[in-house]
Order: sequence, then structure tokens, then C-alpha cells
Amino acid sequence: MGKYILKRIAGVIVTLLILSVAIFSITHIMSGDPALAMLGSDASAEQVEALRAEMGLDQPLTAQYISWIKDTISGDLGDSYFRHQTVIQALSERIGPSTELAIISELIAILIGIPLGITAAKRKGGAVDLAASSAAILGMSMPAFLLGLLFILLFSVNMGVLPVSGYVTVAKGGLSNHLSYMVIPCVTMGLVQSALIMRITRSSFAEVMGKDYIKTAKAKGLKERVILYKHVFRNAGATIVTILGQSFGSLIAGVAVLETMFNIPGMGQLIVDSVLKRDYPVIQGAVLFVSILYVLINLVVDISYGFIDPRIRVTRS
Amino acid sequence: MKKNFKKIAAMIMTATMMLSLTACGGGGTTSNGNGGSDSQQAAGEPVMSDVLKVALNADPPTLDPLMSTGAIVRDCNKYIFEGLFEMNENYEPSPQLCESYEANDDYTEFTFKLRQGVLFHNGDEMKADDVVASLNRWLSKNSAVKSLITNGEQFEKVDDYTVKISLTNPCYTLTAAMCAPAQFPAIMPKSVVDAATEDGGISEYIGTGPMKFGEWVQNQYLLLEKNDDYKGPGYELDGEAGDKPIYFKEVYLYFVTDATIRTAGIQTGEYDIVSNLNYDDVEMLSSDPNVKLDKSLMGYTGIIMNKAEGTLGTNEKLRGAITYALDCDEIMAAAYPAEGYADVYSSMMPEGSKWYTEKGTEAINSKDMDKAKELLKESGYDGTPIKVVTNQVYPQHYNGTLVLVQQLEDLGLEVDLEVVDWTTMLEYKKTKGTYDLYYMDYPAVTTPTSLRTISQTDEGWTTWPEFLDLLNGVTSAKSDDEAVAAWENCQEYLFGRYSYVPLGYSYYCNATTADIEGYHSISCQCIYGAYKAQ
Repeated sequence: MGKYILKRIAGVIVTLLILSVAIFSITHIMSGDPALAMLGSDASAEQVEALRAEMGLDQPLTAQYISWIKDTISGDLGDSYFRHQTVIQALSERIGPSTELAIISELIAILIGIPLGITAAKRKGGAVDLAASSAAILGMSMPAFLLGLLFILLFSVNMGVLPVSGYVTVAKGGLSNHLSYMVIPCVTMGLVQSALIMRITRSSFAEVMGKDYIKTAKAKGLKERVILYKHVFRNAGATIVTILGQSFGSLIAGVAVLETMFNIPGMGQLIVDSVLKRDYPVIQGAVLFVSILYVLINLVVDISYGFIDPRIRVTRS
Repeated sequence: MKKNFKKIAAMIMTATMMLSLTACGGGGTTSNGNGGSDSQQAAGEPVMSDVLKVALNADPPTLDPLMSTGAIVRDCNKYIFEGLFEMNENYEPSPQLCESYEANDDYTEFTFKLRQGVLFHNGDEMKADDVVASLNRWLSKNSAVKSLITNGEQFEKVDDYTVKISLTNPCYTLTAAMCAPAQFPAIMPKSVVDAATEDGGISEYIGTGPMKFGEWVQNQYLLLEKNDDYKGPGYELDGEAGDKPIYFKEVYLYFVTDATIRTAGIQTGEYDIVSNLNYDDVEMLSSDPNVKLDKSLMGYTGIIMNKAEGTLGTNEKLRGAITYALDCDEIMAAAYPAEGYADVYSSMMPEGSKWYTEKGTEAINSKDMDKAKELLKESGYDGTPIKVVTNQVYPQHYNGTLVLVQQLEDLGLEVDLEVVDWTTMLEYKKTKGTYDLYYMDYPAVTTPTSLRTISQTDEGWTTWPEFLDLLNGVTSAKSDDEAVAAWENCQEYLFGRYSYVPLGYSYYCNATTADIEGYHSISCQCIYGAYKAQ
């Protein structure tokens, strides 16, 4: 197991190096100039050129990349063009709200998606399955921002019980005020993610439940609960954990549209804002950070397979 | 029974969480007291309130007035900083931080007497050293001023309360340029100016304005605190100039980029004032008793034709054909679908300004398709696509452009429409030969020399030497009459060469909750004099 983890970590380093080249290239290939974004449309050509030189953007791309990667390896992601702070400061400010949004949304998604998926698999072809599957398809097809807007219309504009948008820290507004701002975004994301989890849970459970060893267990007269949780769940678990990992990764990386719409100062809003302003150091730092996060989540998911399914552990060892 | 419970438990989980969290966080929208019942109270004497929440449509990249030309930057920092002059309701400069000024007969020497006893937010008195440092930084940063003051002249201190500048060439429009909305000469302590860096600008936001900098959380809000030591010039508010009363201890400027959220926010009372609403929402909001609609001048709108080398705009006959063909009423109606938010006229300077003129406007909005087709034939147009660029960040740009494209196609032109994001749009605007046409709007200005649409370095490249000579007549004029007459000649020349198609002037749609009284706005929304009815 230890050798396997070391091998995976070595793979991660190579992946990240390749990613760094891709991130840097894509960021700089984008049309638009950060100096112009800073100065605005009335700025003269000489002002733009002077600011580009100050930002180091007049240097050849390879020189800029080497300088960036050297600093990054030494732990310095650079300074934002537009924020009076370093990229690391910007990221550390944003990771909190995104993590909170991700954890609450994922919990909602798990609490809705897994029980519904299991119930639908157990009653495959029945009314419950049909209703749950239809709801899941609707949830997966509906853009999150649209669902969010519908919730705003219902709970904020019509009922007046929840705020429209914004973010208040616990320290500033108290826990209840803080949570009231998080309800609509979390439920919106939770519902959208639950649709995916429900579909995967249903299909994994249905597949395992059709296996011979489950039929044998039933024939032996084992209780349904034992079959479901001891046999079906452990065999279908790997697929569900994979989708949970992906879902959590995408949530923590920032749900760009939703964070921007609800004005939540998370990773998604930071990335969107930085892309629109061409804040290269922040884009590069944030995307690299998100990539590392994804890779780590995948690593955790991979390792957790061994605990869920002993056969995987044996094969790898 | 147990199974039934399991089945419905998952389904009601979301609703349960929503209701429980709602119960403990119910203060979200109702605690700020902007409910409808209060809104029906009659207006009375202004009273002080604790907090005002304003939702702005964009997020400023900086608060340094000289580091960006964006309107949002001015919308945020104008409460902190003031200039020697501010724009009044007639688009004229009015003294703000200066008590008076004198210019010699040929407008080559200006002497400014400063108001005494004006305090910066750090408690220091504003003196000539601060003003000289601020104004000289303005000279080095503002591109429009660089074209007026071309020989590197600088402001100088005469004594603690007097500042002067001596110029080689006359500059009749200097004071007007000092209250242009973009990159305005904000007066700040010399120490702040000295500490400013080239790429980051100033790092302390200390001015003389009616509000002090409190806290800035990027992408979230700017908190401003009432400046109890504020001292106005002693005359009633006139446009952006004059005494600026503030009736709130704290003002939060929230950056809410989604127009739908701003609309919902004003309906629920989460925000007291919102700016730049969707014009499509005007009808719905006008029937809401809890909301009062307001409009403020956005600026001038027009079709930029690129006249730089390598573009179709170098063909004057083709520009003429387009000018005669365009239906400006139709384009503006699409861009500003709500009634009353656009005035269609052809003068480059606004109605009500001394610079307003209809000279040379015959071809504009004439909708004369016969003449247009005749000019198109003479132009020798060979079917090369006209490249039109636009963006969707500002819906009016996109909506107006769609109608523009249709009209160009009706004329018989091939059109290649490219929709880009705002930063790419800025790059297009600055790069020669990359486009042929675009629809654009700009903030209103006090003097025609500040018009972006006559720029020689971008925005269509208007570089004809004859025109520059005529424009020189405006800056070197010796009187109002002489300057206005010179500008009339400029406009006539530009329109005679089909340089640009003005569409008119447009307005932002802003809104307040019904309990906000005294809301005032001119070139952008203003909270001076606004208060919450008790």
C-alpha cells in the first residue's frame, strides 16, 4: 500500500508540472490585456505600455514562465495585479467560503441522493423509481443558476424569508445571519449534485442487485437490510465514492456562476473575476491550486477504495 | 409505516433545512426596516440613519482615481475625494476645493486660490503642497490632459493657499477638463501621492470628501463612513458640485454584478438603492409600491467607425453610406427598451450644455436609403465583410449592435459580427486595424475636447490635420462665444466627413426603496442629500 501511495505521489508531481505549462500558456494566449483592464478604455497607448513594463509583461513568455515556476516551487505564487495582496493571501481568504459551501451542499446531496438512489434501485421500474429518476433528470438538466433564481423568487421576493444574495461572516453577523445567506446557494447546489449522486447510486445498486451472489443471499433467507448494506453497498460503494469525490472537488473548486450570482467570496468568484480582469498571477495560482486539490481528492478516493473493497487492496498489494 | 417514513424523509430534508435555517436567520431581509408600510410615509426633514446599502453593477479594479478610467471607479471614490472643481447641472465647472481662480486674457496662466480650513480625513489641513502634488500626478496620468498641456508644464505653489500653472499654449478648457468624470484630479495629501507606485497607484484612500474610507473587500463591498469634519464650499448642491450632505453614518457600496439580483434586492428591501437595472425590468418595478425608479445620465452613445489604416472605414464614401442608412431611433429603442431612458439627437455634446449644436447633422438619422445606396455604389464596396465587434457585459451594447448589424445588411453590406468579453473589447478599441465598427457609450463630459469619440489614439482614430487645427481653435479661444463657435466648426467638419454616427444620450435606470427621500443624481448615482424617511 505504501509503495502504491508513493508511486501515485510521483505521478502527481509529473501531472502538476505538465499542468503548470498548460495553465501558463492558456492564461497568456487569452486575448485581452491586464494593463488595459486596469487602466480602462481611456488610457493612452504609452500608459498601457508603461504599466505592462511595470507588470513584467513586456518580457518574453518563456522568461515569464521560468520566473513564475521558480517562484511557485519556492512557495511564492506572486502578487495580484488588482488586489493589494499576494495570490496566497487571496486564495486563503477564498477557500473558507468555498469549503463551507461545498461541505453543506455535499451533505445535502448525499442525504437526498443516496437514499433516493437506493430506494429507486430497490423498486426498479416502479412508481418511486420513475418519479425519482425523472426528478434526477430534471435536476441534471436544469442549470444551477436557474434553480437559484427560482429559489430567490420564491423565498426572497415572494415570501421574504431569506436574503437575496451576499455573504456575512459569523464574526460579523452571527451564526444565524451567516447561515441565512448560505441557505439558497447550498440547497441549490445540493439539489443539483444530488441528482447526479442519485443516478449513479441507482444504477450501481441495480447492477449489483442483479448479481448471482445477491440472489444466493436472498435464497439463503438473509434479511434485506443485511443484503443491502453488507453486500450490495460494499460492492457498489467504489463507484459512489468516485462520484462523491468528483462532486466534492467541483464544489470546493468553486461553483463559478453561482458564487458570482450570490456574491459569495469563494474560489469560483475569484477565478471568474481574475479571468475577466486578466489578473494572470491569480488565475495561474488559483487554477494550479484547484488542480492540486482535484489530484489530492482523487488520491484520497483511490486510497479509500481499498478500505471499501478488500479485493482492491489485495490486487494492489 | 417505517418504510413510508424513509421514503419521504429524503424528499422533505431540503425543505426542513430551509425552514429551520430561515427561522433562525429571518433577519436577512426584514430587519433593515425597508418594508412597504414605512415607504408610504410622507417626506419630512432629513434625518440621520445608521446604514445605507447601495448595490452597484460592477466591481472596481482600483479606488485610485488616476489608475482607471472606469465609471465604477468614480462611482466609488467620488465620496472620498474631491477636486478643485466639480461638474454642475449645466455640465459646467464649479469651484469645490478652490475658492476662486483667475486666468489671464489668453488662458496661458491660471491662478487658483484654495479654500482655507479644509481638512483631509487624516486631520491635516489641505494646503498648496498637497494640491500641487495631486495635480501634477494628474498631469502625468491623464491622457486627455496630456493632449491639452503638451510642453510638460507643472502646477506650482505660490503660497500655502495659492497654486498656479503657466502654459506655453493657451488652454481655455483647463478648468472644464479638471472635472471630467474619468481620471479626475482628486486632491489628496502629498504623502499619499509620494507613496504611490506606478503599477499599484495609491495605497491609502485619504481625501476631503463627505465620506471616509472604511473597509474595502474586493468583489464584495466598500464601506464608507461619514466624515463629521466635512466642510463644503458653502453653496447648495448643484450637480456634483456644492455642499454634499450625508445622512447616514455608514454607507455600504455592494458590488452586485448580476442585474437580476439587484432587481430582487431592491424589491425585497435588501438594498436601499440599486444602480444600472435591466431596462426590461422597468415596467415591472414601476408598478411596485415599495420601489421608486430614478434615472441618471449615463452619457453619450454612438457608432464608432474605424478610420485607421487597413480598415474599411478609410473609405469615406462607405462611411457616408452607413451614416445615411442608419436609423438611430431604432438602434436606441433596441438598446434602451424602456421609455424615457434615451434621448435621440445628433449633437455630440449634451442638451443643456453651451456646447450643444446641430451643425452638420443633416445626414445623421436621415434614414435616406437612396442616398446611402448611391454612396455605397460610388464607394466601390466589393463585398468584403464589415467586422463589427460587441460584448454582452453591457446588454445595451449587444442589443443595439444586433439592430445595427441588421441595418447594415439591409444596406447590402456583408457583416462579420464578433461578440467578445469586456477586456478583449478594450483591446480591440486600442488596436488599429482590428475592427471596422462598434456601438459604444461613454460618460458625459464638460468640454468637447474630452470627448472620447474624437480621440487620435484609439476609438476610431480621428487624426485629420484639418480637424486638429479646428480643435485647437477651441482650446485657444479667448471667450465662451469664440470657443463654442470653434466647436461648431469642429462638429460640422467631423460630420461632413462621416467620422462618427452619434445616437444620442442615454440614462441609467436606478431605483430606491420607497422610504428613501432626496435621492439626487446627475452623471451617475449620488447619495448626497438622500435620507431614510422615519
